[in-house]
Amino acid sequence: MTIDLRQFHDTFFEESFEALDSMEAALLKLDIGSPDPELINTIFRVAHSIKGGSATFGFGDVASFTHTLETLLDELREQRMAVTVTLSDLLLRSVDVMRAMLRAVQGRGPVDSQYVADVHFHLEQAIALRAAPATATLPAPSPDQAAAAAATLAAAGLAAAAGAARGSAPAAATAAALPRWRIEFLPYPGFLLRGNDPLRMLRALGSLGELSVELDTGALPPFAALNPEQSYLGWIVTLDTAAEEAAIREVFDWAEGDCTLLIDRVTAAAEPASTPAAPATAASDPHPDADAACAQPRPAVQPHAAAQSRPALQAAAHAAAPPTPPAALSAAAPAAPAAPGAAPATAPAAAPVTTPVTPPAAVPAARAVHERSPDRGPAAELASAAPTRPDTSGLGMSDSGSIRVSVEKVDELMNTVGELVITQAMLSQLSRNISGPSAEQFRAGIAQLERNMRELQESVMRVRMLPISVVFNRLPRMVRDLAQRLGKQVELKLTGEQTELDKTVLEKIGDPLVHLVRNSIDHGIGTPDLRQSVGKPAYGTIHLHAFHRGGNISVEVSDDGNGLNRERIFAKAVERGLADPGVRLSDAEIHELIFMPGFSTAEHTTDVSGRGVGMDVVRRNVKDLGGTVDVHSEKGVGTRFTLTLPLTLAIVDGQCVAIGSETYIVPLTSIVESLQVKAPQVTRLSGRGEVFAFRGDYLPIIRLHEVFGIQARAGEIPQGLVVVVEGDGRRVGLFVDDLLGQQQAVIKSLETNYGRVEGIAGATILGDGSVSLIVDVPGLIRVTSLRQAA
Amino acid sequence: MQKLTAERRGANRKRRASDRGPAVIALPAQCLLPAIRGLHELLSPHLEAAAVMLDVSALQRIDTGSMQLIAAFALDRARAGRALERHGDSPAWDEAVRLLGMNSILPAQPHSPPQPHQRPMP
Repeated sequence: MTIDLRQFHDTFFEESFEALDSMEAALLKLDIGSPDPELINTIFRVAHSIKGGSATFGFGDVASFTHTLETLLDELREQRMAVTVTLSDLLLRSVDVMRAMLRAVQGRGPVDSQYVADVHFHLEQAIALRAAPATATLPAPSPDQAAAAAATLAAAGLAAAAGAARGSAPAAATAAALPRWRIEFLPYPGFLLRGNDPLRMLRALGSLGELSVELDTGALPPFAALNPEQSYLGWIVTLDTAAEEAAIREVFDWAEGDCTLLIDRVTAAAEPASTPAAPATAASDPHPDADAACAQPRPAVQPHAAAQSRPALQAAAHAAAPPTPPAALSAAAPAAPAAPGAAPATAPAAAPVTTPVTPPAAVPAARAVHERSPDRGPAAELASAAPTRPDTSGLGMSDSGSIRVSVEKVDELMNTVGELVITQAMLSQLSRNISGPSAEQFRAGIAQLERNMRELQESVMRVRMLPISVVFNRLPRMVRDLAQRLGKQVELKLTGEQTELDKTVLEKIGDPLVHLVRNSIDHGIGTPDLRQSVGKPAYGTIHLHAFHRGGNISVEVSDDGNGLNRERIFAKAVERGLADPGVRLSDAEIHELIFMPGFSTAEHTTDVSGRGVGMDVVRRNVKDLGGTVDVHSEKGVGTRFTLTLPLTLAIVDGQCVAIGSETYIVPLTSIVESLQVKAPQVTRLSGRGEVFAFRGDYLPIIRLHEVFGIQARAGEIPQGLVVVVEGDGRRVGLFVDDLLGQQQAVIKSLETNYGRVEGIAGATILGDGSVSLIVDVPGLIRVTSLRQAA
Repeated sequence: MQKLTAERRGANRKRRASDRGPAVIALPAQCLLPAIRGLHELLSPHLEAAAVMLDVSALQRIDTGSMQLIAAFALDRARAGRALERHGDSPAWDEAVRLLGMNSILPAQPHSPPQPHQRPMP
């Protein structure tokens, strides 16, 4: 039976892109000079698994590039190279290249092969440069580092490894009291092509304690018949270590499904090392599931001997072999010449060789202990034929206890829930008119249904919620690159990253945030010299803060830059005929100008800014979401943009209002108060509508029936009601005939089904089956302001 | 005089043959999987050479695939009674031989000046 690997492509791409995002974030966190080893480990494993997956699927170019990257990362991991700014740049460019290559493989665009080749060359060059003057420029871990590694190991209880790291206590003396493990490790033929290297694993084992290695070359074909990329060797390793079994298994974490792996605790190390361990069987194996899963039938091309026969053969060969087998290639070998081509009766490799391996003192043992705990659940076993999932552990992404579901399926569920909400509203409405002995019982049932519906709706909504960090994570790289380009020093602070938002909202706020941050760097924050000349630190700060406020989410983007240049904005507005030179504009009006399409105070257009597009995108996207943008700026101190966004676009809690024979819905989050206004409170302004006194202030009145062209029942203000709403930082009173009640409204896009209508956020279906329009409060305020201004 | 010359000629012939010494295969700095086909091509012509010296002095990195290939090369030669020596120092080589348990197959210690004759292998 063959497995069509294409079925895994989508998952591989999706996970690889996520992993690359995480890798980029981790690279940005790397401390130049003293990088966190765990972070490097994590980055390494992401590269490793992408390489493995790429090789599995036959994406040779990606695998080859990633292999080189992995080699470089391995150098970093082994502390043979230092993280420098140049290297960090190179690694970030490598992430870009991998992203582009994967997109190209996906068929989502071409890849600049020259750029790929350049970066590949630079990676190889960095490795080669490291290799050449190794002793001069890249010293081995210092005594401090070795001591730190030893301390880490000691803390973990890995006494033997700690001793080895210190290079003090003789390994044999330490090993005498240590448990002994027997590890039978038989890679499958494709093992090497999956990006695995047994040498690396044996090195990691060696760092855990004292190691004896028996090599099995029984399956190794003659040189001429050998496929160099295929794995033929096997090993039986005896390890004396204080490390837990989990630590040993973690060494082989990435080989899961690609090898036969049997790990048994055999006996105390004090026993003779040559005692062959009993062949591991399912019965004796303390981890039957794991090993059974690993010991899958090998592919037909597998030339190795059967796993069961291997230990017996090896034990026999081991017993027969002299303590120091004749060095097949040394001058001390027997003199009898063999006829060319004649197969000797005892080929040297037929006998496994026991080689004691002392852990090298300079190798920090801690690196062998991965932070990822073994995850060998049924799903992992089932997926053994599939590529390994890119490891993003340690980067805040957990791969346990979650499933990957397509957005379409969630949307479908959301739609169904929306329909249920409508049906429930219909039943609620009907229940009010029902009478009879069961009416109360019916109404109680409906009330219960309503509660359940709300819970169901909230649960489904939560499925669509994602942390805003998904969007925030795009920014550090951009800030770093842009600041570097503009010769500025910028620190990006991100807080409230775990604040959750609906996926649709998240998708739409990415671009606005990018524009706001770019503007802050380009216009707000000055060069270090300039900042220092006005008594500010050389490093400018951009702070993104997300938090819940009322039923909304607020995202603040603030900087400690120059603030908006009021005079310059005003001058530009006058120049473009947008403002009268003699008029003094309020702060709000000045701020409004910067959002106008094509409005820019930049003297030159660059690829960063100057076309007056960015802020327009900010306003438009936020407006499309039913959100608002507020600006607060102080010259010389900084600017703060506050984006207020709805939690979701799917369902809104609304107040039904009657206007003539129509019912409109006003989102509850916009409503401040509803009241009956008496005639003396109302003042008509010549040509500028009417206002009413409200808590010491005067608010404009918007007669909704006039805006929407409907015949109202109430002609005069005192005959109806005024709903005070707030939007875009302004308050107005909406004049309606009556308030009808509150209900949840499932938002149906008017734009998709009909067309865009200013002042209307969407439509919904009421309990009686009629269609009601949902008022877009900020949009309505803008529309009426423009009409009045005209 | 003539006899002496003939003896000398014979000795010279022997010396010339031994002077040629073993074929030297210099391993590149990086012996890794992406370049393993190249290593295969590098080794292949010397499979049946009388004596081969593996120069590891430039070697900086080597992986299991390359070690496996060299081990197969060495074993084939050993079966045919042909020598394989090592020249130069390489910590990467030593570590790989030790960790992979190849001490008995691959020469761990460098052979200083090339030997004129190698004892046949068992």
